[in-house]
Amino acid sequence: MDIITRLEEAILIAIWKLQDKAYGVTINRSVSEFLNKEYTLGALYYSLDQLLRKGLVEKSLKRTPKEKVGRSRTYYQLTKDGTKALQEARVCQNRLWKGIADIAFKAEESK
Amino acid sequence: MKKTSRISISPPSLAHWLLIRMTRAEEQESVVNDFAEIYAQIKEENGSCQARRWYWAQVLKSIPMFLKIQMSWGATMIKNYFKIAFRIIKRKKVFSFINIAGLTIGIMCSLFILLLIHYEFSYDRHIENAENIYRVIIQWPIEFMNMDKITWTAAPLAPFLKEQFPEVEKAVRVDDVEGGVSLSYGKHVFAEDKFFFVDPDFLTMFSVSFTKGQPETALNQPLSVVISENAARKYFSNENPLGKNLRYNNKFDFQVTGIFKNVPKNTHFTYDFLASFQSIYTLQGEDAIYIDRWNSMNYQTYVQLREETNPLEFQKVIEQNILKITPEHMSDYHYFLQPLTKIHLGGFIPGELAQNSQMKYITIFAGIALLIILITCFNYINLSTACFSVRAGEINTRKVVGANRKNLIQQFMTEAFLNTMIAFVLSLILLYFAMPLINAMIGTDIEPALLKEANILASVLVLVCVIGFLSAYYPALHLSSYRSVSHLKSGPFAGDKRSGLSRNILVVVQFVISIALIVSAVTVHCQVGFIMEQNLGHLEDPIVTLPVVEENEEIKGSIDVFCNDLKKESAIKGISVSSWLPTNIRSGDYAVWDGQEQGQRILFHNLRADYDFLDLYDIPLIEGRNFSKDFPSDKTQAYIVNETAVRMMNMEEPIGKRFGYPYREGVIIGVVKDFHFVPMHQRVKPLAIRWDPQGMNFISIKIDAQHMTRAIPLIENKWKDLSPGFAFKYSFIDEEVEALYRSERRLNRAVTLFTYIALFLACLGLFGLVLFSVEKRVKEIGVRKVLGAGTMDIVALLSKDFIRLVLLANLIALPLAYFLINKWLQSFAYRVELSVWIFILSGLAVLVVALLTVSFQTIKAATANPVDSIRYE
Repeated sequence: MDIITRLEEAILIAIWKLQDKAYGVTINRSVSEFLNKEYTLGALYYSLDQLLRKGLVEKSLKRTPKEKVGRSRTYYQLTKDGTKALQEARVCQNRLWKGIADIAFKAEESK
Repeated sequence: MKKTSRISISPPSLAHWLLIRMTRAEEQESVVNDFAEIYAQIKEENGSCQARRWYWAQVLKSIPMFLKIQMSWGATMIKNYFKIAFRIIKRKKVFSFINIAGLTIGIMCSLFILLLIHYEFSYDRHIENAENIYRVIIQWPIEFMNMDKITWTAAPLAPFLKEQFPEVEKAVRVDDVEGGVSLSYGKHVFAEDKFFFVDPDFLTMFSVSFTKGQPETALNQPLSVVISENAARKYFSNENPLGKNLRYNNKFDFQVTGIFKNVPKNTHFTYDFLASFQSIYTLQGEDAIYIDRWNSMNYQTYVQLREETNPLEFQKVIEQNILKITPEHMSDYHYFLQPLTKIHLGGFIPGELAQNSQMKYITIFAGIALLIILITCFNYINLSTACFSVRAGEINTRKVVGANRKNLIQQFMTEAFLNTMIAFVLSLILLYFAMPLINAMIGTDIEPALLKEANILASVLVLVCVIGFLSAYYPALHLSSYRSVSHLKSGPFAGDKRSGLSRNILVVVQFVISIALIVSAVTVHCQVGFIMEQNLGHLEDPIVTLPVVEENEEIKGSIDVFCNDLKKESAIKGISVSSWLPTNIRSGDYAVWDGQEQGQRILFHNLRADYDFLDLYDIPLIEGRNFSKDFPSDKTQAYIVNETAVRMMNMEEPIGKRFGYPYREGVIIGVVKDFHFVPMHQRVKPLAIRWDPQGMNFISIKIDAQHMTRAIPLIENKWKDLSPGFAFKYSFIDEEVEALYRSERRLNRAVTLFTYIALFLACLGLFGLVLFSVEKRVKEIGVRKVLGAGTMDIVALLSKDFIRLVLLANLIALPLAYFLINKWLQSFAYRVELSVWIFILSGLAVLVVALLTVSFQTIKAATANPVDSIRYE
């Protein structure tokens, strides 16, 4: 499986966390919080499109008549592959950081 | 109040519109909603001003990303389109074969014609100042309004133009040698007909590029000659030709002063030898005083005007000024400037240095190319719309899973382009290798290497795209326009009625084109045959002609010996000498006669011939008698004229009337039937034949057809015996005639070839259609057979529709063809009569071919075992 980018990872995590409330606006908000950077919606859609093509997320169109503005939204969900990709990213992350204690950084900083 | 609040709620409209443009249809709504949601939120918190700013910034920043999404999807779709297109080519082998074969042939033909046209237009373009160079043409009113043109001008014209008018940068004369010359160097003796006398400026004016020698001085002296590389190799092989002498007609020595690169074939006349114009004075000796007279018009004049000169105005200037110096009887001559680049396609003008072509033929070729493209496209359209019923399932599936009309159109376009591209590559390869064959068939001379030229390839590529677009446009629109619901409801054949009608129309048009082309081809063929027959009658025995050059005194002095010795041979049936060949008489003079009206002037073509001339060429006498040895005065006084001459002179009883040129008065002793001594585009002109042993330029020898192989060496030996210093050169009279009508013959062959191709393409399309129709009705046929229909019934049932179409095509095509071909025939003064049989037979022929094409499939279908076709439901 391809290695996913940090933005993609953040999106996947956001979708996972948001559960059935994951659509453009909410995902964007979460991702921007996670990474501490404002992403444009366009950038978000592009990454979502890529994830969709890789088969890591799937989308469904839902009508929301209660909402004031607009009538439909595309909601995103993780696929099995998507969940797997997240787990893998985490394992990878751990592997990368293995053996490097927090102390080491603190020592660096204090110098 | 309400209104303003609504406006402020919604996002900025321009940005909104931009956003909609940039997003894909299926995501549009949710994307827009996402944007709107955040917008509304910001507006609530920070006011509409900030919200608007945010919206704009978001949309603009997102554009690259949206574009990226679009492109990646587009690429995927195109990949998919190609994949499907390839699969369809693979799956439907017969159809793809018919489609691609048709396209290949169609593109190949139009490509070839394109090259041909390009070649014809390329004539003389390689000359540097081509657009400033003109040829002087003289037009004069000969008898009653009948305007006539010649390219012959007087020798003093060129110097006059150059000296008198500052507009003229250069003016040169060119003189060809009638019948060619005989050149020798050591043992090498050859007859040459590409020998011309030119003024020194010719070399710079026509961009003659020298490889050896000085172009500035090469032609300044009399008896100097510059030769082409080919000629240098022919005479001097490895020696250095510069400074060597070439012996001219065994009498004069011309010094080689330069060598030039071979002249491209697409020049309106090609030359291997250019001798200095001054040489003519030396050659003519005592007669040189006639050269500079205004009324001896033997020379071509070319002028190069200065850049800013308007040729039309300058023409008038010449006409006004030339009156002052030319003799009075030439006062009604009109002088025209014909652009150099228009000479080749300008049609035949008497005096022309070489055969040329006509614009009309280019138009015809272009028309044929267009028709073939049409037929090709129609084939594709027909087959792909017919294919629709078979592909309905695929199309419906695509629609059900969400393909919109645009997707379908793109899909069909891709297929068409794939097919045309494959065909394009195939046709390029095929044409490259088939070029020599096609050249030989049509009689053209086109280099396959032209295919590699970038601008030609580019224009062909455009052509291919047009073909691809034309053939894809209708099917794509048509196939994509169906609503799947109607198919789900009533099966795969619903809605096929409309496409059936348009298919029928296309088939009819295709056959109209084919039939019209066939009628044209047959008529052109008849006309060319008619020309040959009119010129030569039915010559049973071949006639060989030998040109005799002016200086060949050995032959001229012993012409009687030559003739009498040869006459004794059994292989030789007759022999005659004359000043011209009866197929092409090119000199004339004004005559006087009994009963001439005041001011009436007629230019008579001028032929000198001996006693046997009329018999040899089977030219029948209508009245009077031939020249005879029994009348010694025939040598000095007698004239034989043709029918046209009698008619023009308004003579009731011409025999015995006084007639003659001012320098040789005489009487008319006979009248011959008109024969074509000028090309048949023109009416027969008045002609006067006289017996005069002077100036005999041609010997015609009639050979017994059975002793051909023996006769030629016999003649050659005799020639070599008498004049060893002169090259022996002969040609058959029918070849001479053929050469005169080269462009007609080329047209004939080309039209014939392309007609076969058009018919083949139309039949190919028909074949495909029948194949479909049979495939579609295979169950019906099975059921009919089970219920007792015979093979013939089925064949009739299946063929009926198609044959009806071809019949209809006949009805439309025949009158159309009559109209068109009649127009072409009008360009001949003498034309074959259009027989009704040409039309009937052409129509029938097409019908038979169509029937054969159809029956191939229908019989197969009709004889198939019905069990196979109705077993599965």
